[in-house]
Amino acid sequence: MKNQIALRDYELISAYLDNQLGDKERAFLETRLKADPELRKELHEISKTRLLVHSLPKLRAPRNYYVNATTVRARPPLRLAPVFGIVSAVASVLLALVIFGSTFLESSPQVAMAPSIPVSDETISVQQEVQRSAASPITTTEAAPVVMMGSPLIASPTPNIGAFKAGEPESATPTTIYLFAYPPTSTTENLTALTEDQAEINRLQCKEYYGGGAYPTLSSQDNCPSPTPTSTSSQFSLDVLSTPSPTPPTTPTPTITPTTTPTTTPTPTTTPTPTASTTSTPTMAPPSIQNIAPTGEVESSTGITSSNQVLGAGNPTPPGQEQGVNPSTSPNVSFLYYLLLTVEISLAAIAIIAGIAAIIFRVRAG
Amino acid sequence: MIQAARDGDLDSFNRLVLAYQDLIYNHAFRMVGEEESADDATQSTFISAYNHLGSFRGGSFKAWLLRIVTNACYDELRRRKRRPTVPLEPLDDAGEEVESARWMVDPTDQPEQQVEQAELQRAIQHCLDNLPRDFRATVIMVDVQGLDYFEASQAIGKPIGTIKSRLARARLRLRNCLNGFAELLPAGFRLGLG
Repeated sequence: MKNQIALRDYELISAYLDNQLGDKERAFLETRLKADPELRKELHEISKTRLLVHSLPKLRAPRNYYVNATTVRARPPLRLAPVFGIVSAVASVLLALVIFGSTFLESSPQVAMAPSIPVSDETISVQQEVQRSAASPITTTEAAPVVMMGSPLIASPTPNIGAFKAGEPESATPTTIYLFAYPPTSTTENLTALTEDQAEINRLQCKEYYGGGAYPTLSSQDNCPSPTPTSTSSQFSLDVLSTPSPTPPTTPTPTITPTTTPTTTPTPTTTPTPTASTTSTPTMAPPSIQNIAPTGEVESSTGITSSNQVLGAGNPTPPGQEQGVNPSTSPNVSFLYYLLLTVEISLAAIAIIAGIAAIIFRVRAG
Repeated sequence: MIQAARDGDLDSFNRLVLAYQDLIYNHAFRMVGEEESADDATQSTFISAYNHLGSFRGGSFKAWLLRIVTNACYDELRRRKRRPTVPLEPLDDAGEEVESARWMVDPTDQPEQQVEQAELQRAIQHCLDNLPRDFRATVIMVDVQGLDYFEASQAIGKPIGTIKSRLARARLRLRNCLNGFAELLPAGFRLGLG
């Protein structure tokens, strides 16, 4: 019989006993109570239960629960001090990890970025340079003759000079490769011989310039301050030593006549470049360049060949090419360094502030 | 007095403690059924109340305190559940707990009325202890402490409809539990006798 009374009815009975029903619900329940003796019995038993629970004695507190200053104020510092201490310790550990990681990162990218990128860049830049020279052989600078004449002499030794003189970390790879291609003993001797030859050539040019005016637009006239051959040769040798890589201004100007050819003819014989690829490379050059300055083209192609040959030997990165590689990678690296620096500063600040806070709370807690 | 306590006046807060400590201890004892646990819950309630006076947004301070002590009792019951004790109920021949508490009747030479009164209180507390804790908190607040539905709703943090439902279910379970103590009940309170 009790199962017939739904839980909703018990809720109505309970609320009715607590006088929590509205007028309509109360009237509805009272009507049902008059008609349903079972519901009336349930109401009676729930009412007794309620009175029994309410009859429980009201217990008095066994003592006074006064709160004093030591009870309520000693607790927060005791809880906060360890928290700040843990935060400081975690920040310190993270800071150490970030510093170690950044140190590791500073050494890793240069090693990782060296091999593949310079090869393609150099190949592309050399091909573009050759194509550009073929397309517009007239638009060259006045400094071209000096470079053109000097390039076969210094084209191959120049990387060696740069590698030996600079000694920078990024040139370590080319240095090794060039040493493999040109033994150090022959390189030094060749360098001296080439310098002397170049000085001699320059001396002859200056002599002809001041004597007959054969080089009206000779750009190296600045290197001939006086007809005296000794001073000219010494000054020009410095220019030869400081001449950069063979790739950029190897195209001849139209002012260069075939009269320059006799002066540069001995250069291929003095060039210590391995001859295997030297003979094949000039065929790839545009014929227009060969027509204007055939020896110059050979000389410039020798420089390119030596570069390609070195690349084929060990993928080196000549000093002139590395400047074209670094700008493409430096923004990301610098951004990463700034990011690491920001993280390090933040972690250091957190570690210090949290440590100080932990000490303060610990001292205040006594 | 509450505002002064919120401003940090410890004396004002202790006057509030003096006014409400019996209520809080009584509620804690009915919730956990032990004097020692009730004492701990009451102490932590007032300390927590003082430390969190800033979170009191007005309304019934009694309901706010009852909410704190209820949560403290929940923590105590949870802690006790992790450290189970020997059940009070004896086992029958089948090894199951005896639902009825008639076994608690102790025929001694004490005055009969005192014994019956004490046994009745223990029986009611036993039935309270067997309720789910949410039902127990609700029925103690309304039937023992005398809160109305709105105050109970504030103290428990549930709508009034939930209070009504929980109260009805709790009273029904209590009725069923107390039916097993018919001989302990006073003549006028014996259930099922009309």
